[in-house]
Amino acid sequence: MKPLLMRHSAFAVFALCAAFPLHFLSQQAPTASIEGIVTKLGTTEPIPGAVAELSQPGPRPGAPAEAVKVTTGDDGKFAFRNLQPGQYRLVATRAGGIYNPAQYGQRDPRSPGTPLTLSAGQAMKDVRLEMAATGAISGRVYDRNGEPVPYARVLAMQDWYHEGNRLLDFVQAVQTNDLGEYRLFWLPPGRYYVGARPEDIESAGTTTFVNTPDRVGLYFEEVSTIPPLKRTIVDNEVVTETYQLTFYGGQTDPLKAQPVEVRPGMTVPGIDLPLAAGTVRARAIQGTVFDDATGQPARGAYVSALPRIFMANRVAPNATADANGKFTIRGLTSEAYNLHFRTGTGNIFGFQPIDAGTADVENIALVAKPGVPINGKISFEGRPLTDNDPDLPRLQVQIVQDPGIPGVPTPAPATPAGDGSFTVQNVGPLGWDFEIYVRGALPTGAYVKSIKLGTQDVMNSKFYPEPGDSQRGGLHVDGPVDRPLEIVLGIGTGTIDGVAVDEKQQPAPYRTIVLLPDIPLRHRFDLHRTATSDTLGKFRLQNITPGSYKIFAFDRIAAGAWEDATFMQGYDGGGRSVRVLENSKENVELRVIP
Amino acid sequence: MRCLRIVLMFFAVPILVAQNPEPASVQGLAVIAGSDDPVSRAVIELRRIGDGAAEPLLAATQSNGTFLFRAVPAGRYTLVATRNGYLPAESGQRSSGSPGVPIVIAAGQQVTGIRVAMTPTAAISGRILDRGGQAMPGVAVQLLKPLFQEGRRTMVVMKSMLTNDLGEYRIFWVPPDSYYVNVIPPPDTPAGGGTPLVLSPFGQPTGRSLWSNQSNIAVSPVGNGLPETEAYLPIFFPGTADENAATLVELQPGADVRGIDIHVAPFRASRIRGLVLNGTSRQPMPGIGVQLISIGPNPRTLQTTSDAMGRYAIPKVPVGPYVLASLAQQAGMGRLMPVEVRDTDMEANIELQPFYTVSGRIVAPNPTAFSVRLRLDYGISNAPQFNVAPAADGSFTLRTVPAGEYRLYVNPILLPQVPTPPNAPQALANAYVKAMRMGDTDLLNGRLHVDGQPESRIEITVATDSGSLSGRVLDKRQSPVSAVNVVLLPDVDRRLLRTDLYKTAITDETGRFLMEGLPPGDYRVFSWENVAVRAWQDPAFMRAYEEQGRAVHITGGARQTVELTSIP
Repeated sequence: MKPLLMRHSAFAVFALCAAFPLHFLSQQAPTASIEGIVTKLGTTEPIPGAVAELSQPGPRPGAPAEAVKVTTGDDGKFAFRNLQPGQYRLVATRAGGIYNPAQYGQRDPRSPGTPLTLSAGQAMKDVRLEMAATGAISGRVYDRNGEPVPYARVLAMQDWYHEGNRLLDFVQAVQTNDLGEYRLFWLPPGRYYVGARPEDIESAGTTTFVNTPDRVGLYFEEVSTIPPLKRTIVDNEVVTETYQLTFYGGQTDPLKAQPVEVRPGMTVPGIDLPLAAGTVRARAIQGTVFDDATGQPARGAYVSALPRIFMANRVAPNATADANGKFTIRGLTSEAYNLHFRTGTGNIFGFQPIDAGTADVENIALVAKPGVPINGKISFEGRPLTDNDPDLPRLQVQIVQDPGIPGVPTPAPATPAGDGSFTVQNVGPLGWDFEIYVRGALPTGAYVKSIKLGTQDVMNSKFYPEPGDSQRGGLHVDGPVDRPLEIVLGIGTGTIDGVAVDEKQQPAPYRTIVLLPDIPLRHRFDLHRTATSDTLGKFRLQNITPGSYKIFAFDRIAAGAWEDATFMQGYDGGGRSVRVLENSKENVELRVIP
Repeated sequence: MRCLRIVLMFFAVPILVAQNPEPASVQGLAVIAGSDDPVSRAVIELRRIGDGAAEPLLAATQSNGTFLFRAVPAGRYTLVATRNGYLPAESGQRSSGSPGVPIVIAAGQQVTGIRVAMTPTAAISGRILDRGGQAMPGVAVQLLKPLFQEGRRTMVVMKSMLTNDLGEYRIFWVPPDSYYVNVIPPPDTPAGGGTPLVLSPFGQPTGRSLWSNQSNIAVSPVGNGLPETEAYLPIFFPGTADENAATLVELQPGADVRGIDIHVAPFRASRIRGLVLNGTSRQPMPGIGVQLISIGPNPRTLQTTSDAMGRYAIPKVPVGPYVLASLAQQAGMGRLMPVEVRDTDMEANIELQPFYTVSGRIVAPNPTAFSVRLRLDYGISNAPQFNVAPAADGSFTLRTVPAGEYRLYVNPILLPQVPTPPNAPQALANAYVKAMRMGDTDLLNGRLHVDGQPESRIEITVATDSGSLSGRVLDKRQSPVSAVNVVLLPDVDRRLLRTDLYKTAITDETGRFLMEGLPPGDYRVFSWENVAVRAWQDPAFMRAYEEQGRAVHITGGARQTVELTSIP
């Protein structure tokens, strides 16, 4: 009964707020205050010199937050006074990287915080922000003879999910010294994968990439300088070798890498990396680029070999074709690549898959072709057709390569005319896959209802045939497209309000709420919605495209893990089905999955 | 039958040699320089001279240091040995870094006894600690060498490394030499919100792209946590901000010097503030960029922009000498003024003065082949400079010159020597600047002082009758000395300002050398068997050798010949 009562009272507060305009409250209401302390995680030890930052979202979405900062004294305490009622975020940081930032409403050092709500005149006391000390990983990198490898780039990587695939991004990159030693530091507590790859000594410089612990976002890097070619001596013979990223445990497959657990304030020593498994003979690709328009060799064409498997640190060897269109790329590993090429103007391009293997590839002919135009029409469902709908020219239709190709321009977005017609020019390279986006000034509650190429559904269809590849809607363009692309927009997204409760039916604050479309459309990652329950266990999910969904409340879950179909198999029973209709407002009570 | 076979074989052999001469071979040994200890697992590269495109021949040294190339086509070759932890070594080198001597291989020749002396590199390590003895992470530690540039002593970063979270650094593969060790503490201002901290003393190198999916972040990353009244300065070992009090650390070949710890304490810092004023109307000028550039071997720049009231303020300025600069190009005004920041906050109004116009004429066969450059003569890197291309008649006008001290240059034949002399194109190989004057002032051997509208014009005369110097270097036993540096320096009076007149050459296998395109005048010529690169730019070094040089007078259009005795 209790949760139900709370929900009622919550509604009452909401109604009250709605009744008084916000500016009235902010002008007349007595001010609020927050007092608290910053301590070391799991102790009462205060942290002096920490900066507590209280911020409010900016006036417009995407605008920078307005923030007030105070620095803690020896007692670790902080106070904010004369605050207007409203929603705030509270974060504590400390210069120097030895502490992980703490956010209000966090359940552990890596989980997201929640906003706090101050009512008029409220004096919030005894707020505690606990900062975890960062940790370190150290070890040695050595070659197949047991000799130290200097100038190897060592990366600390973490899991992330991209459209259902588990990938690794990197948090930090350091270099080994002449003794092969490395030390990764300022690592927020968590689970890491450590990998190393030697770099070309001439071009390596000394770049250390240290993310401060407060970083948000995913990072990966692409090295397009000279690949790390190394002449070494094997059986008294000099051979040219290059390297794949080799993980702790001696694997080159990121999915088989052995994790390293870093606890607050601890150094994990002895994470030694033998590079033998990732040391491979360098192979070369030699060929000619032709321009399809002239049939002639493409002088000065740019050719780049991108590894097909995504890595936090990938090396993309490249070359520029000579006057006869001929090129040679050296330093490829035995991995599979996509060879991307474009002529000097950049608008005539192509790609060629290169299989995994060890032998050099010779006399390959690459034909660069211009992209093709795609015509289409966009409309609002149920809205009478006219020649000058004022909303349509405020939209933009984008057709972008999926995945994106570094260095290859994405086709320019098209602005529909008043009758909804549009043309996206130069969609290429041919043979690639594309995603379709509708952007711009969408009316409130608008969503994409369908995208069809002629009669073919290119929004919900699954075109990836190979297992393991992500499955989702999209457009495959092999040549001229003679059918129109028809985009229909609906109006009336739905909202879900809810409360997360634990096994004792008590409100469960700070839990991760995930809304996933039902299985046939699970690959539509654009339909996924997430939130964190607040101090009262409540949450709200908005802008939901009408349809059938499952909703989950997780106690702890790695960000994006819900996109992984294999991971979700074990949890599908723990979700609740919700059907969202146009403009509907659903209410749910969710049991937290332990 | 057997008899017949033998006869046939005898016939066959000479025919083979005549058609396809037996290929040559090269055999040798890699040793640690100054010893007979072998270097194993070194990669030896044999590269044919004048055939840069071809892949070099490669061999590896055995455990006894020996290497062997078979099937070497005849030709002239360079032989270079490399191995982790050693400086690259070339056969015939007198010392590491000095030129090697080519190996000439005749068809069928069995070349033996090639010896390459490899110098082991050194390593230096230690910890960087703050005044409380706490580790300073993420600070750059640099090894510096003094260098003389335009008559000023500067420091050049040779190697650099960052400390880890324990404040530890280790700089390795260092060429043996003496170095200053310098610490660059973390910047005062944190990187902007959401920017990951790329800790690289050289910035993000080209060819490495960093991709990220987002950059929204609620908090600012690392600063150094110092209060307003303190700031860090670069600190030299053993713990001084004064470069003159810095101690050189000597790194012997193969040395692993540990425990070079440096304590970094912040310095008293002040605020410098004031108004940016139009010097003519005395009105405040809003939105004008103000730069404060420190004078010294590692110049730092602090910058701001004047506000709506024309005020500017730069906080946390460590004490020391600076140039306060403000150039308002659109308003046609500017000012550069030296300031000494002391340990109290200071007021400095910047009164912008109108830019002056400096005009002149270049007298040369083809004036448009040149451009005229005025460069501000402060001891700061990237000093502001103003370039102009002369008209066909040689006349030129620079319209936006702020008051200050300048050096005048003529591109491409008279340029600052930073860090190595630029090469003029072949067509101008014999051209040199004979004279540069403004009224009575000699601008070739002096500076241009601008503090008002100049009354006279600059006259630049380019001549093409340069001279040359050829000669031979012999040792004390009168044997020719190959692969040594020959250095030509202007006479002592001009040596500080006229670094453009410094010329170097390397003797060939017969000890001969040739220098061309020399402006006429008095010089001294030196030849050292062993000398650190550019050591001759240091007046202190030169004092010990001045008398061992040979005075030469270069005459226009003529070749002088000298015979030199090498300095051991």
